Amino acid sequence: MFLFLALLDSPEEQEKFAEVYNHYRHFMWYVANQKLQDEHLAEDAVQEAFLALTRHLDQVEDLYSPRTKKYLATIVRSKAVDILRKLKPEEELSEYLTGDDGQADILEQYLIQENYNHLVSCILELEDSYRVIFEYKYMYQMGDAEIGDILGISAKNVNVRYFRARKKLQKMIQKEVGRFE
Amino acid sequence: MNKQEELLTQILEECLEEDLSFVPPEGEIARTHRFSQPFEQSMEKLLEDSSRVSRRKEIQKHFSPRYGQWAACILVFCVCGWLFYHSGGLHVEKGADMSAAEEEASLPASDRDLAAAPETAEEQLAEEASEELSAAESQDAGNGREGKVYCGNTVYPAEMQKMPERLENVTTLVNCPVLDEENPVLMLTIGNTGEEDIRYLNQYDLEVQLQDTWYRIPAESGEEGRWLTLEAGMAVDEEIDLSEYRIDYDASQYRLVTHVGQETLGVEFTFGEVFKKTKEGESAE
Repeated sequence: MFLFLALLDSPEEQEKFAEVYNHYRHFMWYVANQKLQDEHLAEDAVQEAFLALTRHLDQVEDLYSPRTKKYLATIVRSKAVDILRKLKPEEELSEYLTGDDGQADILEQYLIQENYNHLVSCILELEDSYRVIFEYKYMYQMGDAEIGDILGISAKNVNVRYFRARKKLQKMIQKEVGRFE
Repeated sequence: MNKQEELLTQILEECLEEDLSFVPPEGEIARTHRFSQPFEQSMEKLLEDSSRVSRRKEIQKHFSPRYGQWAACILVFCVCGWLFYHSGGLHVEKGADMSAAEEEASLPASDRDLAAAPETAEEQLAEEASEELSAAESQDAGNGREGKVYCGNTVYPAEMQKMPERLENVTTLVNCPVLDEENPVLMLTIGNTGEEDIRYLNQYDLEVQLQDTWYRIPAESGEEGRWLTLEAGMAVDEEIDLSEYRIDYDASQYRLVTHVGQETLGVEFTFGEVFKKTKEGESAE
């Protein structure tokens, strides 16, 4: 824990961290509890999220901006996903087995303005374990190594998850678009 | 970022916003959920550790390896100087010492006393200076005002003579006092009636009023307090162990001083009232 904290460089960073904690801890707990449906596990997720935040506080610029709120929500959701993954390893296994059917990744073909509404409903239905990868990558412009550091996995595994997430989304959009054609 | 990626980012933002739109405001969640004790403790530790680490880093920042090299150079210079002094300059020093001793021996006894006098005078001056310093320090402890002896302790006037008992969003109250000579404990209740969390220091000053002036009673443990958070709409009971203070439980007016954020609050009480309430409680039972 001490090593993680060593990344809070200055008293200003430490103050910022304390401010984030005081201002958002209940919000983060609520987001985690929605996912985990367990008050204590949700607290664990919040704690894990704050530990990860000590290493990635640079993403927080304006403490009270909607972006910061979203960023914290993404971190705590990814931590909640981790906890669920540990609790139900069979789900983890199924995740790795599905979606790897050799189908080509043609997601970009579906990412067009005409499919906007379909895309929104697909993203809302997409599992959080995949969605957070997209959020880290696109919304916060984080690299595989950074995402891996937050999630506690290697950069290579982040890349694997990312491509599975793309394929999963592509399948969902295919189905969604096909339903309306 | 290409167009497809921009579109995906926009969609992800919109979806997350939609999800978060169902989350109630922070204050509302705070009212319905209270974090468990282990969580609060571990987060408190995390915050304390982070502050310690950042302080250490601040020190390290000012002590760069370059300063270390400078210190090493100065040390080498001093060692060389010392070696030179004790080898080359040795004879000169011995000669000087000898001539001084001879000179002293040739002086009459009264003159020898005079020769020793500057050293004695210097010692005297040093003693006087140290006495003055300790007197000044003792005056500093009382902010330049005179202390009083109370229950075997010297107590000094409090920095703030007047302070409020409550603020717009905070109230303090000495309540449910339990007075047992062997286990004297007071309960202080701090209530956050506002809509925002407050920070308070869990170390309280006990003051006694002597001749219309408040004097701070020093605590014997001397432990440092910690800043804690009190959520909006919540109250906390803090136990004050009076065995840490030398007091006489007489009819004097006492005051318990609490630090809340930048403000200082003082709640007054007398042990006479406490006795009365305890006895009333006992007779009612």
